[in-house]
Amino acid sequence: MRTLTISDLSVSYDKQAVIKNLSLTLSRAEIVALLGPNGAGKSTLIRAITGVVPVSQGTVCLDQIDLLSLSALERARRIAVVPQHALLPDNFTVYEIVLLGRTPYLPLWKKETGNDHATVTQALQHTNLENLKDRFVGDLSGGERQRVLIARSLAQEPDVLLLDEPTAHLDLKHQASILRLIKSLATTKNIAILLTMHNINQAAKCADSVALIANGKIQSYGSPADVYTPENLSKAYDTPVEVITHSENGLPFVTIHDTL
Amino acid sequence: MKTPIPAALLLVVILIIAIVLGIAIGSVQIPPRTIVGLILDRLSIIDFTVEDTSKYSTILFDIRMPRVALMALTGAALATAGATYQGLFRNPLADPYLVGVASGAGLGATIAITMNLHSNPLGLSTITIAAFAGGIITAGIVVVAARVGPTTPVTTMLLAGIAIGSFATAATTLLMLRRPDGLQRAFNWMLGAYLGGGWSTVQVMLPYIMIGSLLIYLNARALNVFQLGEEQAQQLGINVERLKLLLVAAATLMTASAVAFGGLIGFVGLIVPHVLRMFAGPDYRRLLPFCILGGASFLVLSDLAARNLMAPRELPVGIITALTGTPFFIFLLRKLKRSVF
Repeated sequence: MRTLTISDLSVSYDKQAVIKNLSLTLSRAEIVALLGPNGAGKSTLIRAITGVVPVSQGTVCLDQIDLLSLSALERARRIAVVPQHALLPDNFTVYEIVLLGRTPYLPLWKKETGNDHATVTQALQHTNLENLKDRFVGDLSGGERQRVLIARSLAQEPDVLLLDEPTAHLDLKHQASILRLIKSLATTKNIAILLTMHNINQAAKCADSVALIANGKIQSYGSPADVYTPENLSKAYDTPVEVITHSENGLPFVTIHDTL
Repeated sequence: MKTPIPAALLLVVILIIAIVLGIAIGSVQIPPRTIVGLILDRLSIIDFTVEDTSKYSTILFDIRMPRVALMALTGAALATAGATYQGLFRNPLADPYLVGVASGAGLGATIAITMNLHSNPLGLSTITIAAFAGGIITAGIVVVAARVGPTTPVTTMLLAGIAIGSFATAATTLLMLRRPDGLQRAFNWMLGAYLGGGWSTVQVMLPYIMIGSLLIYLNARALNVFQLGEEQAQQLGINVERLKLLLVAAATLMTASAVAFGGLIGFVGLIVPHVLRMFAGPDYRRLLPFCILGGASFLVLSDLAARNLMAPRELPVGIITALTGTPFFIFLLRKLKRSVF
């Protein structure tokens, strides 16, 4: 069963094409990682899917519904985003921020119902934030903030979850806990997850499929073992890399080839 | 800090006290017994007649009461508009005059004064109408000038507001210099000397304030979401561009009517929302009603002081708001451990 279908998508900034005729499909409970060098168009793709940047060509469909023709409200009921440099006002509590995830279900003056609060409580449980719910977000660590953003996304009850660099600026322990959380969400919540990552080795552990993007196009798509060849990666990142097979889990392990 | 209900109750009590004091105290002393008697008489509860009833009655019902009502409306409007702009621009320095309403109103009033326009539709002075129109037109130009493609970025709006505001102020100064005889009248207007409009002023102003604050209040939760920035707000389902234009329009309507009738009263729209944020928290659904109550109380009390401190001479109320409000705000700021914005 397919859920998200991106077909022939092009995005331009000032007549400069950033994404060129890109197509990609995602099923429920599947995790796809977008890899590629800085400026390849990964974040732009995420912003285009959510309607933040205008699309010059192509469609983004969820099942049979064209997401880009929906209102922001309708779209937010289906797609949730964990942005990379998310602004979070310090004086909101964790609970208040997660409750904002219910916005797409609450037009204008409508007050949050018991159902909304129940959804928020559940999202806090999933992300292990129950003990922090009354804390101000200004007092949280980077890993905790990231979990708050994921909890807010869950409160949106989306079919698709997009995460832009979810493990950036986190230490190893928190990277592991965020990736574990993402992996469990895909299966327990039956959500399709699309995430961008710089750490290709962790992407190999977390994602079912990876899409290697360079110059606004998918250069290679498939399982990490298929995509992670020295040729593919060296070309996409414009730097020689070495690929080793991990002795225990059999996953490809990528490192820079040059001696520094 | 998180005790919204007692704080709201306290604000209601303060407003009632402010209104009672505003009506009871003035340069002409009316015995409290007479005041109560006259009000009960007006409500047809008792029959009250004493000596000088008609004189007192005129002061009470036609001068003080509309004045207090006008001040309450102006304070509520400025505080609400200020809180809205601070949320919309995510900038604690934002005040109701940010998109050029004040300088535009000033220009409008000065044009009316220097051109000696006279007519009184709806019983309003031409100056008031010109000021209102000037404020609305200037804000409109700012929003149009700030448009970039299909969007109106808030930073561009802020800069356009400052630029066009400066232009309007320069034009005002030029007009004043060319017609020095109008200078005093223009200054009087700016300091709020056209407050004596009576009930007709209140009647004209009320719908703008009500419609404006209702529109803003209906979008209070959207304003909360807006604190996450425009991109996240949009990803959470807010129609960001529509919200911005709607809120600027509503706040401009309120500010323009406040400025047109009350003159340029500084401080209320900037500091009152910040003070109330300390008690209401960041949720606009609590903050906006607090602003209506708190802004009204603050201006009614400031006006009371302005009328009585140097009686029979009246001080511009803006002097009182700044002189009393600033120390109080600094005191609260120092006491507070957490940043409020």
